[in-house]
Amino acid sequence: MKTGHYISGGGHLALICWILFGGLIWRSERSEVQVTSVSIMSEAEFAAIAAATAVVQTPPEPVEEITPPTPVETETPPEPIAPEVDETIPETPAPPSETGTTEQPQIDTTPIPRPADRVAPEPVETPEPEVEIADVPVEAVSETVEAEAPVEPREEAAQEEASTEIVTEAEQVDTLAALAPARSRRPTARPSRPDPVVEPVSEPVAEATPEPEVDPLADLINQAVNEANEPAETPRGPSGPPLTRGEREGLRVAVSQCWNVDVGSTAANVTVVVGMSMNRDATVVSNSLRLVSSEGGSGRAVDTAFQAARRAIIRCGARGYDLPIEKYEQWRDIEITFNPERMRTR
Amino acid sequence: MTFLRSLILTLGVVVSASVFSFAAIAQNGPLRIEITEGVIEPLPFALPTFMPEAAGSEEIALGISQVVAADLQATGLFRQIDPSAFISQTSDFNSPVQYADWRAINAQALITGAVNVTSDGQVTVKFRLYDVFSGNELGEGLRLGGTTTSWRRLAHRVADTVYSRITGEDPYFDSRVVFVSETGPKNDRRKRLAIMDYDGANVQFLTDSNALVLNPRFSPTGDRILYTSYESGFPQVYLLDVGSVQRRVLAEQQGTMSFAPRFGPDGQTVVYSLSSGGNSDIYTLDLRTNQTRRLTSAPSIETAPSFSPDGSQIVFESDRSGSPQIYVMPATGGEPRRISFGEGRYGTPVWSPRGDLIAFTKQNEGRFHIGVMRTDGSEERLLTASFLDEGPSWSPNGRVIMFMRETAGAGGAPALYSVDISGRNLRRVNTPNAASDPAWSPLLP
Amino acid sequence: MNLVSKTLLLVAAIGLGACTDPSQYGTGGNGTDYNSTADLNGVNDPSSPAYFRETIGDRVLFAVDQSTLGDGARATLLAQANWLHANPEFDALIEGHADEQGTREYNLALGARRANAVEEYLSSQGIASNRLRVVSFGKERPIEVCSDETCYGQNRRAVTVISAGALTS
Repeated sequence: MKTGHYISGGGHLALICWILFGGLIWRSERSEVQVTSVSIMSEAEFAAIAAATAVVQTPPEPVEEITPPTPVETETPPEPIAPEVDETIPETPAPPSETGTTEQPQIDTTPIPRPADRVAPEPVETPEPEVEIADVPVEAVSETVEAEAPVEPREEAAQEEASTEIVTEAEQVDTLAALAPARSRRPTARPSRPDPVVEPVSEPVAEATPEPEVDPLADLINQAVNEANEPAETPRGPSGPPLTRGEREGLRVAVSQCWNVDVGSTAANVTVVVGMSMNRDATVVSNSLRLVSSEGGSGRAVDTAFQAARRAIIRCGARGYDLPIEKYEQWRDIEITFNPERMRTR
Repeated sequence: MTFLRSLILTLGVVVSASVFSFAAIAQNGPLRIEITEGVIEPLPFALPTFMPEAAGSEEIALGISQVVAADLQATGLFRQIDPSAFISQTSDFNSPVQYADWRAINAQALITGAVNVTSDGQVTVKFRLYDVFSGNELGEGLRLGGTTTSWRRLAHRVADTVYSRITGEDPYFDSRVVFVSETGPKNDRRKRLAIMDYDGANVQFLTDSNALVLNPRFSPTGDRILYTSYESGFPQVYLLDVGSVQRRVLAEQQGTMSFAPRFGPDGQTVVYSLSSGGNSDIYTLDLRTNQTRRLTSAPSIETAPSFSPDGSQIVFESDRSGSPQIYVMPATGGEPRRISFGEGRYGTPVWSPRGDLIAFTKQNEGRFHIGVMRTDGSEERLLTASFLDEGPSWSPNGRVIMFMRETAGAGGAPALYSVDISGRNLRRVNTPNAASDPAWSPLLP
Repeated sequence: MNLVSKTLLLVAAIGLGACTDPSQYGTGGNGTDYNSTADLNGVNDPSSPAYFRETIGDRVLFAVDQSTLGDGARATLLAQANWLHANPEFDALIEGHADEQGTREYNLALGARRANAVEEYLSSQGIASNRLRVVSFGKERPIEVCSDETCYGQNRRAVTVISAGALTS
């Protein structure tokens, strides 16, 4: 079932990619045409200028000021709509002749910790198409980067998963366990990481995010081991069998499809853990969504990251997630970690 | 399946969920899962045309609606939903929102507004932003005032607010760009300084085409511009007041050439390159005292200086190593530290307003790139590539870079482009003529 | 941008006045620009700027990123110096130029280096420094407009522009 899921999802995504990719090419051609047309324009314009003789014909009329306020009274809307706030554009849409009068815009000078890893200093390796357009390097980057991701192991993972659904296969588990260290907790930072600023102190989240993408196989094994051992070692408070890998995976994929990451944003540095309670129909209890913890940012970035996570959960869960009702006690409370590290600015 | 996956990976636009990201946790409390891959796609928003609140307001209401939508869409982070898909027709700014109707068309954000234009030319725009799936209003409703001639600024302000509330970034739409407008053939280009809104609207010229002008730069308050002009026959740094268009030459020294000026964050210090006896070095000039100070004295070329936003450091370009590379030194001078070590030649470094990145021009294997690196030179990323990309300038919030792209050959002409610092969303900025050397203003006050 | 090295480009000046008139739109330039005036008769007058430009050669070329003068360039400059000695009523403005491969700022500095190399050479031949001025145009004023080495080689140049004696200095 999951394989089918992937194939369908993959095909879908590939189609999207194809469309987008095609769109790029198309756009690039168009933009080149525009570029050439500039020179045509410019000659015409030049003729105009030459004719007009060059005196500062167009002393830029100082852009007209936006007249101050007009403080309108704040109307208190009748309905549950929040109150409006008045704000008027200050004058100086443009050129104030006095230098003293303008306030300096606030510039956030706090260095934003940016995760190091991935990008090789030379992302543009792949040959760009003839067309002069530069979205291409981005594509190239993703390609290079993603190429590093272990593809084969994933294949294995799929098989694995099929077998682990049966909890009782202790033997297999044992073999796997022999291969794997108890848990590979690896430094999240790679050795080469030059980042002077960061090193987030790990906190509650760390518990939930120990997995190093570095060694997926080991991880997988650990996981298998843990899952297999779970029932024996840590009987759930409530009751009933734990969710199968497939069931958990289904939830994870469902939410991730709605998790829209703005990779250029400071919020893309923030990992948030969002907690929620579920109704029996697998919808989210309204207002139960809460930020459990965050890591890698502060203030607005955390809030933005939380909002994006929240939107993902709500949007994709609008009709209820696909969770087995007989295991309700297992998923009555859920905490989802949204870790954008691997998606970050490429 | 492997094939499908690698196809996805290769295209790399949407990343599939990873199988390995499962955290293996003993579940003794809540069910815990971890998500490490999401999607990267524009957020769909619905923007019903802002309602005219009085007769005669229709045109500006429509104009504001269009500019707000255009601003948001141009970021690449938002996608406007075709109004023909709308189920709810809003007729009153204050009526409650039918969230279900907007969810049904997958609108994640809803922007409603109303515009009132009075007979004396006053414009008021009110708007609200809703998070459709949460069923909440995002922030408070806002009312902005201006005049009929400044309605585009009102629209940019609305869009700035929406953008900030959703992305958490500082705004940047309500800003301007100064650039060099170019006409004439390649071997006799006529250049004039021009200024426009960030989106290319309201172009105005600041100089005539008699003298070659280069590399204009805004002051931190946006009211003055530094540039290089050949007005005297020789390149010299000039200071121009945007409001009065009055200009004066700075740092004029017989027998020298000065160029590549930039303001320090205090608005009083100018850093520039001065060439004397064939050797170019970096100097600062205090506009209050007219005192100059030499910061470098090497036989190599030192040029294209740019202050860090805290004013403590200067990044610049030097070929002391044999090829042009990027260096950082204290703002008072002192030993420079090289930060660029990749292949190729590096130039025109510009410190980002956030302080975390340096944008640059890179030349390698016959191609030009705009790129960014951290201020210690690590994590270099190239954002663009073409025959000639040059001269990055940061948006006020440090999120977008505008630069010049010139096409090759006898008919080659420059144009302005912008790109998100993620390397996505490359766009051409429309200008009436060929254009080069863009410099982004701070956010307008 | 490691282009193949263009070592042999340090050749002697190439007198090609035909290319020197960029002002096809009639906007002139600064008044003292003898190079663009159509003084064809002057070519035969050894004391005319036209003769200087066409016969002696008003420019020298440089290799990529370089400002060193090759033997050919020196020969041309020696002839320029001799002409300036013989015609003391003229001054010279030396323009340094670069090809379009390089940033605007760097090319301005590079053009200054090239112009300065010529100035120093002329000074070393006894031309009074107050008769010489330098200016850099960087990549702003290419003489050839194609985007390959055939044009770039012509654009990496220093041009000695003769003017009637009253240069400020």
